[in-house]
Amino acid sequence: MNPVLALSRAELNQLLRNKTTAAMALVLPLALGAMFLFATGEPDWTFALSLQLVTAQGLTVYVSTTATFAARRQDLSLKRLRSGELSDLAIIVGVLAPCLLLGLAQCLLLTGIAFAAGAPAPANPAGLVIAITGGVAVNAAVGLLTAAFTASAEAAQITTAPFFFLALGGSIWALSAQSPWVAALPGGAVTTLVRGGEVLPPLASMVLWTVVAALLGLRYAKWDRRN
Amino acid sequence: MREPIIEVRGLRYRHGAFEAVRGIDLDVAQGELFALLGTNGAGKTTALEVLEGHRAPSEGTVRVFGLRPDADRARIRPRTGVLLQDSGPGAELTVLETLRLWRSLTSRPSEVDAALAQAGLERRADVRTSKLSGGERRRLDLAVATLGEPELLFLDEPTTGLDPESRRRTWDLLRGMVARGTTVLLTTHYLEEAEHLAHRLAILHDGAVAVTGTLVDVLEREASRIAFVVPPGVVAADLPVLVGTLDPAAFAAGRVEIRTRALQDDLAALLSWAAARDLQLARLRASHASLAEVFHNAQGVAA
Repeated sequence: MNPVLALSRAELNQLLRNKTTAAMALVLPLALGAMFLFATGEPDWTFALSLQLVTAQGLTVYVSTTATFAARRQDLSLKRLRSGELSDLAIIVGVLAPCLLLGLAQCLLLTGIAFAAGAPAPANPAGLVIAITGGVAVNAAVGLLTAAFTASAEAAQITTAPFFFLALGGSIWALSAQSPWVAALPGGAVTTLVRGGEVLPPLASMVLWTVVAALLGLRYAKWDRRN
Repeated sequence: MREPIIEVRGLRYRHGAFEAVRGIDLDVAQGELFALLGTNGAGKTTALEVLEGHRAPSEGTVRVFGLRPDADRARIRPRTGVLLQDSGPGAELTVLETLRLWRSLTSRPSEVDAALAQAGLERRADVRTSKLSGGERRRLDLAVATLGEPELLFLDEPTTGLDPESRRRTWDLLRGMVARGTTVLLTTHYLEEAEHLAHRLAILHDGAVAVTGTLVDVLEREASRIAFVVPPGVVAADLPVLVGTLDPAAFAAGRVEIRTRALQDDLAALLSWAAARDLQLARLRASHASLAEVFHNAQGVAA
C-alpha cells in the first residue's frame, strides 16, 4: 500500500477509536448542522448553509487538525514517523488527511440534507463548490499553523478559539452586512460564495489564507514533544 | 579500521545557553557495535539525535554514510533503523496494525509475522499498544526499528524496562544482526550490556567523551587489584618490592590491597615471597578493573 495512504488509514482508525476526538469531529458538527437547519422554523437557507459549512469546517477540519497534530507530537508519533522514510510533507498529509476528508464529507452531507429539505438550487454552483473545498483548505492550513503553537490536544481547545470565532464572526458579518471586506475573513468568504455573490474576491481571500498559513505552518511545524 | 559509517568531528550542541554536547569526536566502522555510556544528562541522547538527523549540530561536522543527517534525510533514512528513547506507537492501533503500518512505511522488504515473533508478541497481536506493558511496548518499538534489517541501527536505551530474559533475547538479536553486517550505535545505562555487546564504547560525561576504545583498552586505563588477608605476624615492611601501591588503611584493617598496572609481575613476586616464607595468602584475589570502576572514575576525569 502507498505509504501516505497507509498512514492516513491508520490515522483514521485512531481518530474513530478515540471517543472524544470522534465525537468532536463527527457528532457535534452534524448536530449543530441540524440545529441551524431546523431550529428556526422557516429556514433562511443562506444562513443555515453558511453556518453549517463554517461550523463543520471549523470543528472537523480546523479544531481536529490542530488537536490531532498536537496530540501526535506529544505522544511522539510525529518524531517516530520522522525517523522513518517519509518526507515532512508526506507525514503532514498522511496525518491530517482523515480530518480533511471527514470535513469534506460532512460539508457534502449537510449541503445535500439542506437541498433535500427544500433549499433552492444555488445561484452559482461553482461558488458553492469553492465554498466547500476552499473552506476546507483554509481550515486545514490554519490548523497546521495553530498546531505549531499548541502544546497538546487539550490546549487546542483554547488556541483554536480565536480563529474559530473569527470565521464564525466573519460569516455572521457577511450575513448581516454588505461590506466588500467581509470576504477577507474565512467565514465571510464562505458566506459570500453560498449567497451566490461575486466569486473572485472570496476565492482570492481563501487562496491567500491557505498559502500563507500553509507556508508558515510548514516553517514553524514542531516534531518533538514540547516540555 | 573498516570503512567508517559514522564520522563525527568536534560535535557541539547547545540548547540556548546550555551546552549539552561539548566537542565529541567519534568514528563507527561498518559492521561494528558501538556503545555510548553515561549518566543521565551526559549528552548521549542529544548526540544520538544529532546523528539521527532530528537535530542540527551547533558546531562540528557529522557524517552518516558520508552524508549530513540533518540535510540528507531522504537518502539516509532508507538505510537506517531508529529506536527513540521514548517512542510513540499510535496508542489506538493494535500491535499487528502498527507493524503493518511500518511495513508500508519502509522500502526494505520485511515480514510482519517474523517481526511479531521477534518481539514475542504473537499472542498480543490484536491488543492496542496503549494496553501493552512498558517492556512489551519496548519490544514492539525494537521490532519496528529493525524491520527489514537496516544497514545502520540507532538504538537509544533499547533494553530499558525489559526483563532479564527479554534483554538476553535482544542481545542475541543484535549480535545476529551485527554478524550479518548491520552497524549499531546504541546508548545504554547497563554496563554489562556494553561489556557483552560492544566492539568499542565511549563513556560520556558532561557532554564530552571521557573514555573511549575497546573494552580491553578502556579497562587497561585503570589499575588492577590484588587482595588477600594479612598473614599472621607480617608487617607492611615485610612485603616484597612491587610495582603497585599498597593501601595502608586497608592493611591496618587486616587486609592487603594493592593497585597495580603490572598485575602478572606483582602477583608472581607475591607468590614467590609467600612460598619462600611458607605463608598462606588467605582469600587471595587478583582482578582487572571493572567497567563499573572505569565508569565511576570517568565521571571525575572529565569534570
